[in-house]
Amino acid sequence: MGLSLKILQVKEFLEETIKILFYYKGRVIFSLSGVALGILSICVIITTIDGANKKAYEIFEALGPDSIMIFGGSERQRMAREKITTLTYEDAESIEKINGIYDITKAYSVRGLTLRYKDRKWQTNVIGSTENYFESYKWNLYMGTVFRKTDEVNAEPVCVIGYKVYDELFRGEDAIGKTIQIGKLPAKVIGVLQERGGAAGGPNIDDRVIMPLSTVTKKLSNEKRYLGVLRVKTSRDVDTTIEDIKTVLRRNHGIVGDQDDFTIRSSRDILQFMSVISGSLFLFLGTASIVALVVSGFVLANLFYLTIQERKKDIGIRRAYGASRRGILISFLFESVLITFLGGIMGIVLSVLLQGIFEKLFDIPMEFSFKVVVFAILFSCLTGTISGFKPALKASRIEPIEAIRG
Amino acid sequence: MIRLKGIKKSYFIGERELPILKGIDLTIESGELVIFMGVSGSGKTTLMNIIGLLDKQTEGEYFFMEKNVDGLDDENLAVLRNEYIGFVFQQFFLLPYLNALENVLIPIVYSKKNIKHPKEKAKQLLTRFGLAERTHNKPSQLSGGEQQRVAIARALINDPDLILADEPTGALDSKTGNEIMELFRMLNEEGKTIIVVTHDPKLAQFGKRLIRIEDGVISQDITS
Repeated sequence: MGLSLKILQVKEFLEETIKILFYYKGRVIFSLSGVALGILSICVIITTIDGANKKAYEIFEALGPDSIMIFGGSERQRMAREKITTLTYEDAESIEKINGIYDITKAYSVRGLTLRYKDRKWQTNVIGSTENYFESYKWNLYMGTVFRKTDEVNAEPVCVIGYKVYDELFRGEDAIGKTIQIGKLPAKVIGVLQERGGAAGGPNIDDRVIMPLSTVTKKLSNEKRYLGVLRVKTSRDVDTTIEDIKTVLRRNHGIVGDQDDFTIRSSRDILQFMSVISGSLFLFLGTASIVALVVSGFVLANLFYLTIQERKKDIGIRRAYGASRRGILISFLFESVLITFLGGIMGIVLSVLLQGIFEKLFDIPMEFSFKVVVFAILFSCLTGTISGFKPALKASRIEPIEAIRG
Repeated sequence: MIRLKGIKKSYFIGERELPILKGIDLTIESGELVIFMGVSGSGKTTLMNIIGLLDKQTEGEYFFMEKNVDGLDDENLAVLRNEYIGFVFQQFFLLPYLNALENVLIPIVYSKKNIKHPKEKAKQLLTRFGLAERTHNKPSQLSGGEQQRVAIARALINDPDLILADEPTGALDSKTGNEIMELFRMLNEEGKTIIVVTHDPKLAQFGKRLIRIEDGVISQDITS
């Protein structure tokens, strides 16, 4: 058999099927849009979860897998968003002495300060911290430099601003050496941090100002005793170190039992939190898309079933002219898979188009990948095969004489 | 080409047996033009369906192209139909979503024969039947006579040896019907074996051989 003939046959077959789809437009449009919606939501799930995971991983990477954060206030107080300061400089000193801890960043922040530059205004949180802050967060500079130990010792009015703040106040101009007004304090900008991007649904981490800890505690507030946050890095096991920190803090604060007035978090908690978020997202969107696909599969199967009666003669003719039962089964199955395949493509295209809107609207980063396309096409073809199988089987069982007699 | 030995066919309605064909012995040679004549319910269409490998007899033996086809499965029967037989029906049975040319090409999709340039061949056939201007028309835009000529072109595209026509003039006026019958005569002269099934006595004149079927048996077999 000539190869050219084979190609022609496949081409004819494909063209014929497409003509059939056009002839039965109504049915096809219903099924197509159902499948497209189902696939769209599958695409959104996968891209969103991938995006969230990537973001979580980035945060994890940035914080370092060996870092531990200590806040003032109990777990419950923190949940209620109360600002409780219980950590002292003495606590910091004691913690620093724990075996394995090689880095400690002290921080105290003042919230909701108004920044002014020329006629521009911006409200943000000012974090006072030690000079190792930048190194510890692995946060590189977009321009300028960081402050040094001497700035901390002298409580110099210098600041390093986050990219968001830079964008709001300077709009792309050179900021280094300029003086901005932080609350009532004039401060010189010495550096701008690189942009890191917002976490899913969370606050924008680029919206911050970092100053020497002493500048903040002496000139922006009057807090001599307490610290806000301590961040430490350990060379030993994270869980063991956390236990050690608990012991030290309970002793310092005179706590008996487990009524802690502090909260400890590790990078692992953040990762866990993110996976809980993406887990519930998966459950919700996953259910929605499975429902959409099952419903569209049912619609497809039923409309398909109905048309078989209508297409009895079509089947009879094809059988008389050399189509076997299997041939009919294959062509009907192909038709149904083609519908869902096209629906799947539509869903993918829609999700690409909507990606930008979703990202803006819900602040969810989406990670579109080849994997998504493969998944979507696989799922749509599967829907077509499953929902098309019974109707196709029925079609293939129609006897030619029965069909032609009609 | 066709040899039937003691062919019987019954339908069963519950327990009751309804005999349609009651013992048919018949031989048709290559190149014949045969008319099966009979009233409705005589069994002529059932006989044609068995000859056309669309139906199976209850009893008896059928040799098609010198080969016993009784034990063949669906797949093999489909191949034989495609390779050797072209069908023409009373209601034309063109597919509504395909144009004339595409309808003619239907058997090609299932063909295992190496037909060269099937599109050109389909165009030639349509041109020959006076439909050169109609190749891209849908069936709904064609008259009955035109539709039946498209159907005949479809029956011929795959170079079959045998053409089976079931009441091919039944849905046409007598003038157009005669034109269709003339077409069959012409094709027969070119070497095709043709069997036309009809209840219309006026068509008897077009055949070389007339077989009358009455109540499931052959009552008359005249070769002119």
